[in-house]
Amino acid sequence: MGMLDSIGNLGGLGQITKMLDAGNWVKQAVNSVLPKNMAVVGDAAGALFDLKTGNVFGAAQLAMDGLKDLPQATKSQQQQTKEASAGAAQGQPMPTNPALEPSPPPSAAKPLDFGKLSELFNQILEMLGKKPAAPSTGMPGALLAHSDEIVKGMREKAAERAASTTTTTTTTFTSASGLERTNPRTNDGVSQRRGTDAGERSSWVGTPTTPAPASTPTRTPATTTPSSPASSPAPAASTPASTPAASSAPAAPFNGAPAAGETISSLAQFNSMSDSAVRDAVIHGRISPEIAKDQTAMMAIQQRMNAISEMNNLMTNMMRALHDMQMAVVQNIRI
Amino acid sequence: MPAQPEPQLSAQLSTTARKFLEENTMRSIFGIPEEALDAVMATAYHLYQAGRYPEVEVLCLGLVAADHKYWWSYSLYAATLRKLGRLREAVELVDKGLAYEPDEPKLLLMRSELREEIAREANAADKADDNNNDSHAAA
Repeated sequence: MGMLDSIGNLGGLGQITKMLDAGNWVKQAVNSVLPKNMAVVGDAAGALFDLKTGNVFGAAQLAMDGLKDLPQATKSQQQQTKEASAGAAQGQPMPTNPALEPSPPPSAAKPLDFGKLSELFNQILEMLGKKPAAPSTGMPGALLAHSDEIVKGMREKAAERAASTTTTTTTTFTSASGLERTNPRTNDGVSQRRGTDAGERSSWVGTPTTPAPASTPTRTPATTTPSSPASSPAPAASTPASTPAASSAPAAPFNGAPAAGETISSLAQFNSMSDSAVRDAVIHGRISPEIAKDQTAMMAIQQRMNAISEMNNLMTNMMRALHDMQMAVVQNIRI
Repeated sequence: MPAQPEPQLSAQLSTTARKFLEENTMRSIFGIPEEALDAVMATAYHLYQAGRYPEVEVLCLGLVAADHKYWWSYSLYAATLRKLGRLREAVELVDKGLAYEPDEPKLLLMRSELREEIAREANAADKADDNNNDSHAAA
């Protein structure tokens, strides 16, 4: 199974992480006490617990679950009102005395406040991203604004995991053309938003466009002609070191802002690459043979890709939940 | 021999500790967020409306334990006990809540209504006894 194939298969990984997630246990404990339609309370409790214990992944996951369960909670409110009237009709042991009936809880006298709950989840995500949100930003905007920070945190965690994991992988990259056939995900907000900074449609056809590290200077072609690589490959290959470009473009130190079409040539460089650049490099097979042969490096790449995929899924789920929430509000208004 | 933790515990608590626990709620000691209690209160209220009184009682016990100074938990708890037919316990509970918030109108109203209801029940029981006695005497 290829690495990219494994990205879509996160179900097993999710199950394992859920088993190890203390917040998930808290959620289950709370949900076992509360009715099913109040699952959002359990999600919030689990997310808060995870947040307190420093498990940002679990907190984010449970926050997403909470957003998913919000529409269900609102629907159940209407149902419960109907049930209450039905219960009164069935007859109760004690006669109803309006003076003895409890008033609705003061803080929950109004129906479920979407704004406050959304704020709560937003706060959780803010804390995850460690960046205060602008008060004027809407929920989806604020979430997307924090996605960069969240992704950064997840990347660090993934690198740590890759360093400590003992799993063996059998991922191999045989040809760039095989990888190019893989359709990149285009339905997630993050990738669309970031598509501009990494050259999503770069014209790379198998030759690295950036200079290799100083340790392997002879393998790097001196000049690159990405616009017409098939028509004139010979001049570039025949004069690798004689052109002045070779001397004027040495292996420059990485400055933290990788250019489009970058090749993964070392672990240090890989760690400093942006998510879009990593994804682009993997999709187009721009991985140096040294890295491809290094099992640890490949595991690190796989972990990074898993983290990116996980974040994309989380953002997609969150946006879907937000959409459902908005649709539920619209439907309630129509009713 | 069955253990009796409560008397032992109360014996172990010093006056200072009791005073501290009386003045400070568990909510403030453990840092329970208000949102969590709000959610539990909303749940308890919905359960009450659905007629699931045993569950409401459990939640109310938790609410009173978390914040024994808040009147609303007592009002819901008392209403639940009334539904379960435990009127005297309900009055005791309302009195307890009024000890912390003496001017709470809802609790005051509930207390007067509950007392009237207890009095009505007592009168009805007396009348039933009198009727029984009369019928026995007639027989």
